[in-house]
Amino acid sequence: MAQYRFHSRIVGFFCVFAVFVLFLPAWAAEFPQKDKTIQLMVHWSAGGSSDTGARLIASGLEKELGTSVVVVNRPGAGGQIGYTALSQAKPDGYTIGSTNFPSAISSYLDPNRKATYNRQSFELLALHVLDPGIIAVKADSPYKTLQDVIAAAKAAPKKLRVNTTGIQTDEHFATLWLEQLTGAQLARVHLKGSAPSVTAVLGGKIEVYCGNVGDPQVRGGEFRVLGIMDSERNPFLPGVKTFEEQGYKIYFGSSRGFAAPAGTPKEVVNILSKAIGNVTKTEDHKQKMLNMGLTLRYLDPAGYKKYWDEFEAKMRDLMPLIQKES
Amino acid sequence: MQRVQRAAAVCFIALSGYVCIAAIGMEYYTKLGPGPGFFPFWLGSIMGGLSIVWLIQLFRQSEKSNEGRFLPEKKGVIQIVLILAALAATAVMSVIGFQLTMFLFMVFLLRVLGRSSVWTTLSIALVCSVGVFHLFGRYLDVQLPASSLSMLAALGL
Amino acid sequence: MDAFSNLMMGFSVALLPQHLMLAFVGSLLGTLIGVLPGIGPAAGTAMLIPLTFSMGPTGAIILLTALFYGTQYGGTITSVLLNVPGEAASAITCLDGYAMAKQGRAGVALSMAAIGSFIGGTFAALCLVLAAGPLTRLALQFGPVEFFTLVLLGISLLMGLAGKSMIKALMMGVFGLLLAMIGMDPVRGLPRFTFGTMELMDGISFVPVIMGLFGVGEILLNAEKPFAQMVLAKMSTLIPNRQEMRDSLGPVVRGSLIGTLLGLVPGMTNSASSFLSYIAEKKSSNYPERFGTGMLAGVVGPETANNAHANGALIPLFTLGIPASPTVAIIMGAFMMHGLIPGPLLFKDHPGIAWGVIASFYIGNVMLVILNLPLIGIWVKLLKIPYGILSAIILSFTVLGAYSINNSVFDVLVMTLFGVIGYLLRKMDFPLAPAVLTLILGPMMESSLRTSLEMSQGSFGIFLESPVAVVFLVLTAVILIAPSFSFFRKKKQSLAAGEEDLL
Repeated sequence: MAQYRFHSRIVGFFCVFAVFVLFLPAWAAEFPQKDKTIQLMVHWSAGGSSDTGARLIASGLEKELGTSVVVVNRPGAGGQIGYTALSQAKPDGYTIGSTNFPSAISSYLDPNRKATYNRQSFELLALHVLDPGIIAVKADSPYKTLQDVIAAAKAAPKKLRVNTTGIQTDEHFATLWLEQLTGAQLARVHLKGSAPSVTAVLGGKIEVYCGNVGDPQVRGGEFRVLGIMDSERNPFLPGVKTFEEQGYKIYFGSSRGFAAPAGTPKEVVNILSKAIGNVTKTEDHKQKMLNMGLTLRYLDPAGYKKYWDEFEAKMRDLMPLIQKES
Repeated sequence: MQRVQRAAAVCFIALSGYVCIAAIGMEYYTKLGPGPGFFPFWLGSIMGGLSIVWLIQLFRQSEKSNEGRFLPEKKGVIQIVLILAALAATAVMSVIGFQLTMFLFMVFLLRVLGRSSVWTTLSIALVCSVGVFHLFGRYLDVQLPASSLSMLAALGL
Repeated sequence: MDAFSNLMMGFSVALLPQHLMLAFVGSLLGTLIGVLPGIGPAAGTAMLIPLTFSMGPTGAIILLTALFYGTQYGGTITSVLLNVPGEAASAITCLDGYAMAKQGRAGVALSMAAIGSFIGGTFAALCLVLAAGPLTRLALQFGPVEFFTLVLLGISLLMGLAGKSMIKALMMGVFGLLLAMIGMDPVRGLPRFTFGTMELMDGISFVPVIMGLFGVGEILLNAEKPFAQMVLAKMSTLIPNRQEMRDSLGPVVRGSLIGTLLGLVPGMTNSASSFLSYIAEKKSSNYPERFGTGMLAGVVGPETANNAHANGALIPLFTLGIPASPTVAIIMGAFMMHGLIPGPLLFKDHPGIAWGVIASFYIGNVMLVILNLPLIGIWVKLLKIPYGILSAIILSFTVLGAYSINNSVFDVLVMTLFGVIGYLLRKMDFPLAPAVLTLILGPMMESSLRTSLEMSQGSFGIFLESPVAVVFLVLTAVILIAPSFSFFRKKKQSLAAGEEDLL
């Protein structure tokens, strides 16, 4: 009797195993499996605007894909910890992550940071948000246009103060680009984030504000925005000209996209990319992004790749200037 | 007690020496003021100076102030080492998952160190591991790590 | 809009059911953490941050601040009944509190301490309401230059008030500053002392450090001996007589002022307030020799002061964005995790959150009095749970807290390491508070100095151009030079004679 029971157990085990083997190819084709969770890694702390945007996408993806999508925050080292983890994750589509500019690129362009990944380590899924850079001054400032600021900076080199929100942030690169293009020289002050920068400008400690369209304070009456570093005007700042319109071909800002580890199957990438695209097209999502002041700009993998390469090329061009500051 | 304090003073001196040497390799001063190596160098030096003063004070003190042993009884030392080992062992969390790690951790602390009864141990350990995992995951939106071994993951751990 | 209408608007936010609930939970957990020896406000607040991830920012901050000032109430219970400080700021309460308990007056000590705490806490919260407007206007004038000099002042005060063993406090202060050097430097953005790890690039995260030094270190210290059941003093009537109420009036007023004022200064901890208040009571009493034998003033004064301090320390955080103590630094971290930056812009951009949280201080303090007086029996029962079980649960929460800050096992190991360091340093009588404070102030000092010099393009003259900065610099100089004059030296000795741990 005992013998029989033992045998039946072995037979049963094999039956289960056979079923597994038989259905395995079918599973691989069917992405995503309903009972598997997709992890969306956000390389910043919970609560920030990168995190909130990603969480909106995650909840939209759940509906779109019919499987659960959880956000996992892996902050640290300006995103480098998260990018490293993403590049080393299993390329099966169940681990994807956010990719922010400029941190995703600057971290591997700077040899001091010894990053173990580069553009080729990721399979790009989609661009989600593009937050263009801006130059602004306090409302009662004598500088009325971008030309005024540049003329002042040329007249007295390294006297006119401009903030960045930290070393190697988009403001740092953008102000370098402005100097490179115009030959003006600014006194760059590296503050920690946009709130101290806004305070410093409002308090008159700094003359020129460099930030993003998404910074809520610039839309109040206390700032005069002089230009947007984008190819088109922005609905959040009606009436503000782009840099291009004013004769300066500068296109910079921070952006947020999504990527999977390199080696993720093409079909899986397409499914995820299309799903993200669908989420961004829903009215609900558009409204929420509007409320957060974020400029939605969906790009498919091919478009995102092109954008990445252009952005990286410009950063490679500017990186030596940062090194030269040292 | 005296011996341990002297050893500690020597450790602090070694630390300051290391910091100073490392700081010399960094940029000391820049066009705009102190560089990355400025503060480490001076802080290291101050630390070194203070530690030396402390060491001298320790030698000057009479042996009278040698108040007993530094380390507790042998039992106490074992207990402390075990707690620390258990804390360090929670690093396996990313491999075997939060629930199993925390369960084993709690069983170890409660049963081996706290000598609680089997039922107390099991119930507290379950609440702190499985209970906390689901509470945080479902209601508080904090994802604690699941096991990265597919065998354990399949069991929901 | 004046302060009053702002506050009313705040109440409309704070009185929402979910916020009332969170203020209650915060008060409850705060009292719990205060009651439990071996875990103080800093480690306790840090442990609970992950709990708040899913809440809105207002609720999260209400919870964490209520927890913070709640610990100051709970600590008293343990000090009075067990002669063991529930948390550091209540250490001095043991002297007269336990003596009163032995005389059968524990109930009066606790009830008067709770009422004093309530008055102290609400007084400081009132100061915050009144100061918020003027200070936030001033805050725009508060740039990196002023910030650097203020941090300098804070660090020098820390050193100046070091108390008994000057050398050890100084060593710890420098130790904290050395730890603060870890991470990307503010000048070039290059990794410094990171030993090749990415995890250290943002600097050593201070939440695991605090939990290690204070939480784990304390438990290790208790683990030296087999966990013994502690002896509780008997409770007695809670109702004070008329004489006792009259005796408490002076200590409450003085404690409120001392606590609120010291709370404003970066680098001062609650313990400093309760200690100074004790000294003040002893000095102003007609019977200084009776202190230590069960003087009510020696309980009420310090307990009022540490509560006023807890609420007062939130004034510089809310108005200027400066964390004055380790726990406040953790609360500041919580603000940032919820996408908010404390400081003048908070009142402008998120008035609902700022005033809602401030209004919740009043609600929380009322709840705490209720939790601490009629319900005191529950907390007493809690102290009867075997310490072996309590410490295991506390340890499991420190692991959970350290891990979930960054979802990183690295932080758990950092916490373990600092548990060992904290244990060893404590055994050698090193004060730990200076190390933690300079660890927090250090990066601010270095980066604000750099930013100031970037603004002036390298000229140190910028520090003399701002009147505020000059005032801070003069004060710093006075504090550093004063000890060499005999008048101050004498005063310091009397300070040191009172109790060892000022910090």
